[in-house]
Amino acid sequence: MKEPDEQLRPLLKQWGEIEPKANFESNVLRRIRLAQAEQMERVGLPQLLRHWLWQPAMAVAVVMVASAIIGSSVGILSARGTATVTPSELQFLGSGTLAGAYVKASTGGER
Amino acid sequence: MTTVRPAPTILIPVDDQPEVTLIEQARAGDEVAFEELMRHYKRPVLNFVYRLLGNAADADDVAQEVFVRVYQNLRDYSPRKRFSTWLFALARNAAIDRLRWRERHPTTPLDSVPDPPMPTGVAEEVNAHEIGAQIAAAVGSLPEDQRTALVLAEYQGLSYAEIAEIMRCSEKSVESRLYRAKQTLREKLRHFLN
Repeated sequence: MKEPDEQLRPLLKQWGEIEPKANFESNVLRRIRLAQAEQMERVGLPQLLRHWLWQPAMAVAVVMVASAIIGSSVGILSARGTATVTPSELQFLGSGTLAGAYVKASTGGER
Repeated sequence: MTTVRPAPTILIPVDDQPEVTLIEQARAGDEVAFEELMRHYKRPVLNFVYRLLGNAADADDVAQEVFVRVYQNLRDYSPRKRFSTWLFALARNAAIDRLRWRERHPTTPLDSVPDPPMPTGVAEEVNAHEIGAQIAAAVGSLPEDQRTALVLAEYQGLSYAEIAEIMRCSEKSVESRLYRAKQTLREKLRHFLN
């Protein structure tokens, strides 16, 4: 009488194995490329910016553009804050002038 | 068309040592080394997932997916482990993912494994292909953990220790799963035994 395993084992071996297809490797490599491309698409803006900023030329360009924007904004804001009007510049609105009479009429004499 | 040939006694008596350099090169991004590894392991991986899934078309697709995962996760591989053990663990996970996907998307594939027919005659009358199909069906009816243990032991020729590492369980547990799997198979295939 054979041991149970001695009978079962040869029987199991009768379930044959399959051969890999000829294009197996090329299919795998194609899928790897696809996965890499999809991964790049999935990368968010912060990671993309971080990646770009590692490039020296890009980093310099970004710093220059940012400096120009910040500089001009600060310039505009500071110019707006210091602008003053002298009384002599408003003489044309004084009483006795046509513009002055119009202003007085339209504002009820508040100016 | 996938061709079928009889199973050899041991599919993967692979000594990992000669591949250490290849693995290191592949980990460093050497695509040629990766292709060489793939050439070496594609057959055992393909047949391992084939026996877990019981479907050649699915097996081809999942085996390709396994190597994509190998490529993506090679940096996580620790050379302290046997490469084949790490590879089979990845392959098992990929096969389990496919089995779960099948559960969520039930279909009837054209080359699905047929249910084991009731024995109607003597075993000699049944040709080799039919015997293979009935063995496939019997193995396919086992719970996943028993099937994996059986395939790794009987078809891939791995030791209990290696199987335990792949399945993340004790050797005792492997032994018990194998025992139960073989008991079930003996019952289901009794018309071929004796």
